[in-house]
Amino acid sequence: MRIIVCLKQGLDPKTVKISRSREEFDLREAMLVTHSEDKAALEAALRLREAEGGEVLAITVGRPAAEDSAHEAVAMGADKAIFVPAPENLSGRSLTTLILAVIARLGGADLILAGRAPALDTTGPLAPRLAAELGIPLLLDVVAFEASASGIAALVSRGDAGLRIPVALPAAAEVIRGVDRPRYPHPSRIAVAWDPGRVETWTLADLGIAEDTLVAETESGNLVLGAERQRGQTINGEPDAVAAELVGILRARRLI
Amino acid sequence: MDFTLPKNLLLFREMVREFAEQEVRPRAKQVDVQSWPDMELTRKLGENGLLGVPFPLEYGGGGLGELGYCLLMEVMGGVCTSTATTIGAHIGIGVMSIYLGGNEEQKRRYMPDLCSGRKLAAFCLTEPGAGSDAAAIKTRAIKDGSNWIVTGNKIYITNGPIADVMTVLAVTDPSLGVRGGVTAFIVEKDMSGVSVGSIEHKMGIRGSATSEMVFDEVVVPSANVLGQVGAGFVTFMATLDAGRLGLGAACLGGAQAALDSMCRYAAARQQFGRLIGEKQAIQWMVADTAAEVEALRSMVYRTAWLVDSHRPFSKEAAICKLYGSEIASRALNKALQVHGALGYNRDFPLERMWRDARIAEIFEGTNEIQRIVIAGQVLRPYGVRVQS
Amino acid sequence: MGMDLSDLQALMGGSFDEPVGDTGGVWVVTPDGAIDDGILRLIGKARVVADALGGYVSVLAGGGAAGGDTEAAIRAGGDKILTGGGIPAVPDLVEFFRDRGPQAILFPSSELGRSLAPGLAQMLGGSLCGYAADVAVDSIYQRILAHQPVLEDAARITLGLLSAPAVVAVDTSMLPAAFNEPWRHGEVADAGVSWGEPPLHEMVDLPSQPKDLHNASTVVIAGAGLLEEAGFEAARQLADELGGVIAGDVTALDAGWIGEEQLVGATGFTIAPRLCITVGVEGDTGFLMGIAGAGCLVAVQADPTAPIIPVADYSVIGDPGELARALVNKLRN
Repeated sequence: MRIIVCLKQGLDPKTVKISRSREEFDLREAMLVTHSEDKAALEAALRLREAEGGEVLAITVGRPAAEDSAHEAVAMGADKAIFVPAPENLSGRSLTTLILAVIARLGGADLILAGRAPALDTTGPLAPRLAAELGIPLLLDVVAFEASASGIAALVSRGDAGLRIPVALPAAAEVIRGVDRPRYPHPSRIAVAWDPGRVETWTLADLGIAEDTLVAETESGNLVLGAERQRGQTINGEPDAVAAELVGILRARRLI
Repeated sequence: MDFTLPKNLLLFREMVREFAEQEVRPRAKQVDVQSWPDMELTRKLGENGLLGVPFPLEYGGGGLGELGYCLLMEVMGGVCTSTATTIGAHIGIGVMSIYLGGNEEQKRRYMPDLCSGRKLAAFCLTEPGAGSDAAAIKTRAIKDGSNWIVTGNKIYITNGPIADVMTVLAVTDPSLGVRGGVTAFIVEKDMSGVSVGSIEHKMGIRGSATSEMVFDEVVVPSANVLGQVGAGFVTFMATLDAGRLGLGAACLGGAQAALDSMCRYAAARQQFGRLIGEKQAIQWMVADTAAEVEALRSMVYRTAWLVDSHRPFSKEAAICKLYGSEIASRALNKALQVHGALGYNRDFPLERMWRDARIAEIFEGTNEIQRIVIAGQVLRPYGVRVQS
Repeated sequence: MGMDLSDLQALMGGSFDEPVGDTGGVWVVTPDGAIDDGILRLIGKARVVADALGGYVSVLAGGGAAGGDTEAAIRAGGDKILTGGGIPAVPDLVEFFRDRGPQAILFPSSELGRSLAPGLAQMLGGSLCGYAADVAVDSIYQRILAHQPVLEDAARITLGLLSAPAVVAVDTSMLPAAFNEPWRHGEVADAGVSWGEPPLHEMVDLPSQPKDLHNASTVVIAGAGLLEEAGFEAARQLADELGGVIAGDVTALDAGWIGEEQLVGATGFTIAPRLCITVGVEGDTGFLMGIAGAGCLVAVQADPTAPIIPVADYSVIGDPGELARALVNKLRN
């Protein structure tokens, strides 16, 4: 069984701040990380390989720094990773085009996994686009896969409950993080993850794609700031009136 | 000169940081309160490859060398010194003595289990009459056919109560002294005559298990002689040399944690209408600590490079331990002062970190011994012999 | 003379002379046919966008004849409501929209919407915003913009959708209230399609992480100001009503109301819930460090000079126990 996992590198939302004065992101402390839900997808793939055998291949498309994510995938347990250096500000459609070209050159897969779109990313979700282009079934909100004699099933989150959905391969799935965190890469795998051959670099030329054909269909514009945080607001009055006012405020802010 | 960490070590450090935040920090208070390691945590450390980090892959190690080990100890030292001590005694002197002194058969027999955490190691040198004066040990090993009968008491043994494999230094020929009369042995917990003696009740690193180890006519096969008969002292001293650096790295982590803590508090606490971080007295404590931490970090990483590139490192490792232990104590003292009474509160981690740090100036070779080691190295080219 | 009033008539709620055109315009797709408050808000947003672009609002509702409240859909701004049987898949929608040349297609960000929008954008050659809080029109370029919330909606990225159709999955709960304009007219028609019914799947219990102080999105912290157990009980009920966890300060711990793992304050740990309500807590430095990550801090306090007041987003001054009980009552009714 061959599973392909698409991993993206992006800004760690915990390290990104907003500069109200300049109305833009403050990236001075920002760190680049492998998107955590893509790692959850890789974890699901690795567990399925442990149950069913086969191979897990990772694909990362991005700027040069993103190659670290490909190595991280190998350190976590992927058999091999493909890294495609790509121009900045790749749009969702262009990213899909590149990933499809890699998948084609690899000869396809039984299961294609990706996490949900990263929070600060404007490319949008990947798995649904791949499923549509390849004409294969799509599963959303997958928490885990189960392998049994009758085949593979996906455990899918629907609100408070879950569904068990049999998977007809080949298929694509969008994975979300479950209860178990993705495995820590083992030091012995980290030690060799940068050795030759673990990560292959395929350029746009290798994929037969000219850079000027990657035309963006979306354009990120300016940042619209939310209301500035206001501390020290007091609510006075009789308990019942005050309770009503507070509940109203919190409901309007969608906190309760 | 490239001071950047290699990519694989950057990823390793990230991995250790996540592990430390998820698994170690939530347990740090409890291991101190219960005065015992968390064996579930020890099992997880082993499963995740953190108990064999520096050793070659062929022996089941992590393959990340001394610098990888120092990064591990730096992170752990900043989160839970007790856990760092358990790891350090296991990797830095326990397994290390087998790696440095053992033959191929012994390494293959013991290291895979030790590196994976299936077994834990301890290093048994100190005795009631032999602390700094390690040559004054009295534990005796007498040849009996192809075996050795080992009898004696070792004290202040970190991991003693939880170790499966111990390296023990014993006198094999009293007439020869340390040059030829002392041998190192690999002793297993299950060998008849091995028992855990009294448990040490400590001021700090309470979450690390420390005890007396009693060897009562333990029959040790000659296949378990570590290195050459009579050459044990050299093996043990070389092991301590190597282990010092790990301790220095743990002190670096503790000092950095003190710095982070005092900055967080200085940014939160207001008195006299201003943040205390805006007052010079506090700023100078922060600056002094930051300067020492930066210097120590450069020292530790450079010394790890010396080890990994097979260059001499004794003097530098001793400096890391000496300097690191004193910097950590100074940093935590300043952090305690910045926090005021809040730092003195047992619910807040700072007082535990302060108690934990003090031992670093004492064990693994007291700082006085470190000074002798350093002076010996520095004065030797001048023809001055330093008393050891 | 004779002005061309057809556009004006369209804006006023449908021309009575010509049928609503099938091409162009803004479409709202509700794949399972539900026309709830969220969809009505989405239709209202489509109305605003269509008015700016000069076009019609069409609603495509799957789910079969049972359908939803099509009259409400018209009052909310829909010009034409098309109903179809079954639930569409991406190829079904590609087939439906292929010759209709819509300018924009809006989906709710429900599971169905999220499974259809990206694939549809991909196959129609359009632009996608996978998660938007708002949709607007750039008046200069007549281009559709989506506003994507980031960092818990601390800000929104304006995303220009350059290729038609602009496909957007919208979090309808973030849209303004739906229109309810009884003077609007529109038509309801059969979409003329028959899509498949999705299979039913086995329901299972998924393992869930127990909620604790560090992963709960709402935390209620009981403090010394509650004075007695009855007050703490009110705080605990408040936590239950909000679906959050109860915690306490050192006084609560010493009184035996909470256990060590529920202690907030000078523990060296900082919690970061979306909503943190303190009940009877003064807020010394150690405590404030412990809740520094809270998204919104509400302090219920008797003392208006307590240090927590200037730090809290909202402060409610009064007897903490009484106010906690009042809040519980309000939430239950």
